[in-house]
Amino acid sequence: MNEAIAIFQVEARENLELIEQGLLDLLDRPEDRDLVDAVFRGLHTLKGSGAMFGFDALAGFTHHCETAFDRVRKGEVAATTDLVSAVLAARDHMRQLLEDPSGDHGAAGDALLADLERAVREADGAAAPETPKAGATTWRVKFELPADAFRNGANPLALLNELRDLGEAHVVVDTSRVPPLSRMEPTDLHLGWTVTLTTEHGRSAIEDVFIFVMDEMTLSIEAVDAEAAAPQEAPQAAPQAAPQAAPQDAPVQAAAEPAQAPVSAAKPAAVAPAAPAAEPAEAGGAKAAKAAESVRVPADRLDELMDRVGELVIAQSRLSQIAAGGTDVALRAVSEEIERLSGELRDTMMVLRMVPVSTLFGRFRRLVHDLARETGKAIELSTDGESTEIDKTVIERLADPLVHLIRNAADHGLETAEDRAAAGKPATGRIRLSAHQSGGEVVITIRDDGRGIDRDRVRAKAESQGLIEPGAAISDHDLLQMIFHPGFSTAAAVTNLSGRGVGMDVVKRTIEGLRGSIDIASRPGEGSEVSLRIPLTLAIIDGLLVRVGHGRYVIPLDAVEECLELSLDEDLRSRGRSFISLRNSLVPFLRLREMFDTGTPPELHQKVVVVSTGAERIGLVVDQIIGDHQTVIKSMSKLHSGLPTFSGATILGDGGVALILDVGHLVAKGQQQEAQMREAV
Amino acid sequence: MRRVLVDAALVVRNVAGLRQSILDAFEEDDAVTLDLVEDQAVDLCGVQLIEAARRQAQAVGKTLSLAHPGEAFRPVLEAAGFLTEASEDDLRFWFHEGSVQ
Repeated sequence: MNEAIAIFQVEARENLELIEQGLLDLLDRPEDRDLVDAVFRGLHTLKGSGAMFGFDALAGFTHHCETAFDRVRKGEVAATTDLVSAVLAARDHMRQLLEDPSGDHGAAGDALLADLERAVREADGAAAPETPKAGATTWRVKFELPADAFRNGANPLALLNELRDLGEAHVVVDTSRVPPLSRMEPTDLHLGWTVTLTTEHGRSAIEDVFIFVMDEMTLSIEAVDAEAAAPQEAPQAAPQAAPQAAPQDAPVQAAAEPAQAPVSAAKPAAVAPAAPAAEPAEAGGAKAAKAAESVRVPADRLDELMDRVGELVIAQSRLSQIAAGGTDVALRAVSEEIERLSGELRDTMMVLRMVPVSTLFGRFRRLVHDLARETGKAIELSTDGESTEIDKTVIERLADPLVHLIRNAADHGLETAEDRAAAGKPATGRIRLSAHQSGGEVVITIRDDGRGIDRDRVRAKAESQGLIEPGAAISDHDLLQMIFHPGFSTAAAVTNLSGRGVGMDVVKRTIEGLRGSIDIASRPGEGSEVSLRIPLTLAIIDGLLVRVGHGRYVIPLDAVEECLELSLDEDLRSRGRSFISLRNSLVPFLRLREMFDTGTPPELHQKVVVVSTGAERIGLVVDQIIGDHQTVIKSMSKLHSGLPTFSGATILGDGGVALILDVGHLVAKGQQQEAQMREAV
Repeated sequence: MRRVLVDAALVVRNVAGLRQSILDAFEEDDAVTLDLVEDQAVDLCGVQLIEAARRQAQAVGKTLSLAHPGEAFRPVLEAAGFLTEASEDDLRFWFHEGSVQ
C-alpha cells in the first residue's frame, strides 16, 4: 500500500503541475473553455484520488476549490486574474497537504478558501449565467469500469452514490459477465451497471461523476424521454457520448483492459491524467496503448544502475589492459567485445537519464507570474529550445541558480512600466529563457530587455569593497565578472525578491560545481544576458588520458580540439612567452609539468593538447598522450574538493587514480597568463 | 455438507484465498455452506466473489448456501443495485427469505 501511496503522490504532483500550467495559461486565455475544463478535471481527479488514498485533508480542501472553480466551468463567473491567482495559491496549499498530510494546515487553508470565495464573489456577474436547465430529465446511464478497478482502488459504489446525489436513481447491477468461480480472476471487476436517473442536472453533470475513470471505461448516457431533454443538449449528445449502449455480452474494449499491459498495474487508473470528458473510446484505447509504452522508474534506481554501469566500465578497462598486455588472442577478442558492449550500455544508460529542460522551464512560468504580482511589473516569459535534454541530476541542480537569475532579471533588470515608457520601451518587460545543445554541453541563457547592468555602480561597489583599485583600468568583461564576488550586490534596497547580496556567487559556485561555466553580457538600456554552459552529464565522460611526469590525468574529450607535438627545441624557444602559433593565431599554453611541479625532466617530444571552452582556447603541454578513456567521474574528497584545477577523479584499469582536469579553469588561467604577457609587452 | 468458515474480512485483499477455499470445498462435497463471522466486513469485491461461487455451484450441479442470513452483505447489495430487481432465488440465498432453513 505504501507503494501505491508513493505512486499516488508522484501522480498527484504531476497533476498539480498540470493544474498550475493550466491556470497560468488561463491568465493569458481566460475564455478558453478547454483550459477551464482541464483545470477542473485536474482538481476533480486530485480530490477523488486523494480521498481514495486517505489524504482526507487534501481531498476536503480540493473539494472546496473544485466547487468554486465549477462556477467558472459552468460559465457563471469569469476566470478573472484574481480568481485564477487565488486558485494558484490554493494549488500551493494542496501541494503542502500532499507532502505533509499530517501537518496542521487548517488555518492557512481556511484563509485561502476565504480569498477564493471573495475572488469568486467579485468575479460573479462578470460572466453571463448559463440558461437554467428546464425541468427534470430521465437518463439511462450504463457503465462498466476497467477490469483492474478494484486493484486500483476505484470504488464503483462511490460512483453510484454520486449519481444518487444528482437525483432519483434506480440502480440495477449487471452480473451477466460474472464467470463461475473456477474461471474467475477474483480481484477483477466483472460487474456492470444500468442506472435510470431522473435529474435536473444536465448530461455534463453525469459525465463529471466518471471524470477520473473516464479514460478506461465504457459509458453510455441516453436521454430516456427525448422530449424532455434540454434542446440545447440534444445535438451534442450524439458526438460527445461514448459508444452507445454496447451490448452487454460484447467483448470489453481494449481500453478497458489495461491490466494486460505490462506496466499499467503500477499506474492506478484512477489517478491517470483524465482525458477530455466523453472522449471517443477509440482515442481512449490509443491513449492506453501509448501509456503502456513508458515505464515509471524511481530516480534512485536509475542512479543505482548508473553506478553499476560505472563500475562495469572500470572493470572493463582493467580487462582491456590485461588483454592488451598479454598474447592471448581469444581473450583480446572477448575483451574488445565487452568494451563495445559496455560502451553501448553506457550510451543507453545516458539516454535513460536525459530529461528535457521543459521540465525545468515549466516551473518558471509560475515564478514569473508571482514576481509580476510582487513587483507590480508586467512581465512576459518566453522559452525556447525546451526539448533540449540534460542529465536529470544536472536539471535538479540547475533549478535554484535559475530561480535566482530570473528573480534578478525581474527585480533588478526590468524597469517599472513608467520607466520603460520613458525609455521608449513596451510596457511589458520580457524575460527569455532558451536552451540549446552545443557539443557536449547545453547552453542555457536568461535574457531580459531591462535596463542592463549599471557599470558605474558595479565599479563603485567593487572599489568600495577593495576588489579593484580606485580608477584602475579594467576591461568591461572583467568589470561584469565582479558581480560574481561573494557578498557583492548593487541593489540599493534589499527587497523580498533578491538583493540580499547572497546570490550570484552562489549561482557561479553551483554552476562550476556542475563542471559548467557562467558568463554575463549586458548592454546599458537594452538588457542583460546570462549564459550557463553545462555538461550534458555528470556521470561518465569520454576522456583523453595523458601523462605528466609520473601522474596520469584525464582531459574531457569534448573540450579537446587537436594535439600537436612540441619538440624540445620549440619548447626552449618559447620559454618566457608560452605561445604556440596555430594557423596564424597565437595560442597561449600551460606547461602542466611546471604547474604540477613534477620535478621530472621534460620528455624529448612533449605534446600540446589544444582545449577550448567556446571561443577561448589554450594548449596544455603534457609528456605523453596515452589514449582515449571512458572516464567514470568520482568526486574528490572534501580535502581536495577546493582544488580548482581538477573537477574530479577517476579509477583507471590498473587500479590507479587519474585526476580529471577542469578545462574551464585552465582556459581561464591561460587567458589570464596571456593578458599578463600582453601587459608586460 | 462442507462448511467453509469465513473469518477474514470479505474484501478485495482476501478474496483470492477465499476463492481457493471454496473451490477446494466443492472438490470435497456437493453442498458447501459459507459461515461468516457476525458483522464481517464485506465489500463489493467480496459480494462479486460470492456471486461467482453461486455460478460455480450452478455450473457443476452443486449447492452453495450461507450458514446465516447475510445481513452483513445487505448495505453493499443495496448500494450496488443487487436487490433492485432481485429474484426470489436471490433473496432466498442472501437472506434466507421464504426458505425453511
